[in-house]
Amino acid sequence: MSAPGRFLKTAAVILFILSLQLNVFPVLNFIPVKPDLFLVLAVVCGIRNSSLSMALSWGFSLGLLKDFFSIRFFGFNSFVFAADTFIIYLLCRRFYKDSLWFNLILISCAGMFNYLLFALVSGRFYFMIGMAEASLNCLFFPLVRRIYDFTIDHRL
Amino acid sequence: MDWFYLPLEVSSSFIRDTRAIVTYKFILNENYRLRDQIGKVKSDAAFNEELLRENQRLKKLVSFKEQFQSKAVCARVIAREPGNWSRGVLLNKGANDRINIGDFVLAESALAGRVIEVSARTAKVILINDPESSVAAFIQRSREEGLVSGTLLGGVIMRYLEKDSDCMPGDAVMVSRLDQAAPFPVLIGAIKEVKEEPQGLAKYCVVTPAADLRRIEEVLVVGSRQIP
Repeated sequence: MSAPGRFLKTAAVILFILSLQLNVFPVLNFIPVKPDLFLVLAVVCGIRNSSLSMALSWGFSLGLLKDFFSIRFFGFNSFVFAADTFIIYLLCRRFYKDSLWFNLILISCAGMFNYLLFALVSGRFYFMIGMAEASLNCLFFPLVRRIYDFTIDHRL
Repeated sequence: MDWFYLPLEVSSSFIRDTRAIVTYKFILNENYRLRDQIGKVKSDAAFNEELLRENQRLKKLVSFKEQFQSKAVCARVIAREPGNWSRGVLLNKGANDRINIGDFVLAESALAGRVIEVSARTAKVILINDPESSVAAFIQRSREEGLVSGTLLGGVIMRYLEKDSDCMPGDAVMVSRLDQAAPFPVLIGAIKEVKEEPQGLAKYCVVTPAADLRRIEEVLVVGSRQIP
């Protein structure tokens, strides 16, 4: 695929995820806890990317995007997402990364890792919300991975 | 008599059915055309309903704006907080429209939050149901003062009420005069439930915010020093 086409597809995916996260999930009354699609996409990028620099840039950029819309701790997500993608990239070089269960474990651990860092920074411990978010992230993982494979991943 | 009419009925029904079969294509096309028209009318009705609701909301906002002497800026919510740890919104107006840090944000004629960050064209607002938010408030009926803050699951509570407080479900909670910068009088919500603190030294109330904080679309930003 040509470079402009790939760029447009990537922009469309990010816009779609941005609008889901910022304008759709917050108004749904039946889910008090929202999944973190930015994190899910960062994890997918960590798993799927063959180059460490690309994985890190994806993680950092998605974290930065989330930071722009978060009301506090600017820079926290950029740092944590980059760390997430880095760790996931290293783990995926050692283990069989195409196993769905392994991917789900990775995404749950990434969610809980973020939660722990946030709890340390904010001094508040919201264990149940951290768990609920990690579970919801697992539910959305197959969808985001499929979207990534069909749009962003240029090897296909 | 019935026997007399039977052949007529049979022949007329035969003619009707034959005509229906002959004109089947025409009827089918007309059916499709009418369905299209119904779909269009339904879509127009939904669009008009949306315009009507927006008009009602904006009228309410404008009439509320007239209560404030000088600065009151109408703004739209363009994004909401992406994470689970905070409650906030992003407005489509910022420093260019004279919005400053600390300004109060009102929705549906009630307090919704406070501006915490401003750029040239946008402003970030922390909502009253954020765990870090706190607003001095009082109960309208009993005149008791307390502090309204948010909970992690998006609820609002009023804390630091005396143990013998006679607050009751349904009492209105207003922004306190003690907060010199706050616009007054502004409603926060109504008491839903009264509970005791775990230590048993004080009471707290669960408050239902008057503004639907999950669905705010247009807000009024009131300068923190522009008290009527």
